[in-house]
Amino acid sequence: MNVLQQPRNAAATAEGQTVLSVRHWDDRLFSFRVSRPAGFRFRSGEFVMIGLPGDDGKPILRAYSIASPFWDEELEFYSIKVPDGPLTSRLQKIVPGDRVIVRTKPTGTLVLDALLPGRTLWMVSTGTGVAPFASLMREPETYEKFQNVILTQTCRRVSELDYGADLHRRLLDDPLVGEEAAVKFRRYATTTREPSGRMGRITDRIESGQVFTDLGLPPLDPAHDRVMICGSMALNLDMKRLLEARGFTEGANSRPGEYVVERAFVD
Amino acid sequence: MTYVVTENCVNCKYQDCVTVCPVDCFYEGENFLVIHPEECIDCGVCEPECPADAIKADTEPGLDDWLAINARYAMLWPNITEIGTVPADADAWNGKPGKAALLITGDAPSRNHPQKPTYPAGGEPAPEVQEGFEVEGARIAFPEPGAGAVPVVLTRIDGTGDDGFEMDGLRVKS
Repeated sequence: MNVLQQPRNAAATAEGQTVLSVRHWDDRLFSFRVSRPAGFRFRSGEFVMIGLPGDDGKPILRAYSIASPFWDEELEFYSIKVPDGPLTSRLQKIVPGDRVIVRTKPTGTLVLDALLPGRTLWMVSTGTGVAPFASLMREPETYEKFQNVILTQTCRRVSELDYGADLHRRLLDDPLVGEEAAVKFRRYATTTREPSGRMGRITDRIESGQVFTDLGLPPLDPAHDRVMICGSMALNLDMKRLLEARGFTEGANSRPGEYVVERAFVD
Repeated sequence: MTYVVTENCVNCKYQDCVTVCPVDCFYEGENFLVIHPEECIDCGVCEPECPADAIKADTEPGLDDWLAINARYAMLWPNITEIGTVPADADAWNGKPGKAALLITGDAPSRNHPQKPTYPAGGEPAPEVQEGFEVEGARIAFPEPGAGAVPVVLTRIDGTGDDGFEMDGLRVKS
């Protein structure tokens, strides 16, 4: 997909979409699905502004990665619940039938167009940063372009990994990419606080080489690896440092490179 | 925090940033773009897109002057939501030093938007007195609005000559 050939929904008008389902994963995380605005197109990995009308009538909007595949008739979003968050304190209470504003100007750097060809795609996330990868892991182009597709997700608690585990289970039944994903896709989840089978930050596991031993892959090298990062500010900065020390250059839509980075948006 | 457009945008104005901005917070001058600091959501998508590397996070040191320019002209210039004509000589200007002096801040119509700029609620700002002002025994003439980077000439009121100083463009701090 060439960004220049894709019509953009530049008008970006605020539009009410209907909430179709809501799932609460634990006390701090939930996902929900809404109707898709007519004519709305996006590239896997992009985000849009969504929100609710504020008390003063002015919409409260935040950036949310689209967590559903491009062909889905519905749009899925994955969100944290911030008790005092201007948006999420209210958004977490939505029920089917409610309306949510979805602005129709998708954007983002976590897109395949921003990466040079390579052998292994690393999608590195913390927390709700897994959301854009929920779309990319079901994008056929991901498997056309890469031999290995690795999703890493690091959270404090085990229950925070449930959404990613569920995505992985459903990936194998995916009508478009299920067969290829069964061969090429692997998920590598770690926790930093609650004990689990695999503990520690992903950056430490990259530095120590443990992740490469576990997955049977060679260490990160700009010659064959491509990296997409979406997490906390700390993860993003640490990964950036780590990759640039290894000779990786940052890509963009206008200038593809060996890695791209985006914040996991929180309130 | 916000992102800020800085010097190397001057005369380049590639506008890749405009295409990717999720909140359409760019505003367009004749040869420069600015970001509205209160509309920017710090998503950072525009930063790597800029071919001129002109967009910086305001957490970087030394950007106070550019932040002030972005804040001021976001209020005065028209909003831009789609890429327009990129200057034909943009690549030639990319990276040239001293471009800050060439920044056109007047309210002249832009190449992409030949119509008069629209102003936010509150209407067009009151026209400033353009004749200039006097300082002890001398007169400073303002350039015509929208004339761009022209020398500002200081002349003696007593008419004994204009052996004053010149400066590129004009910068008045209130």
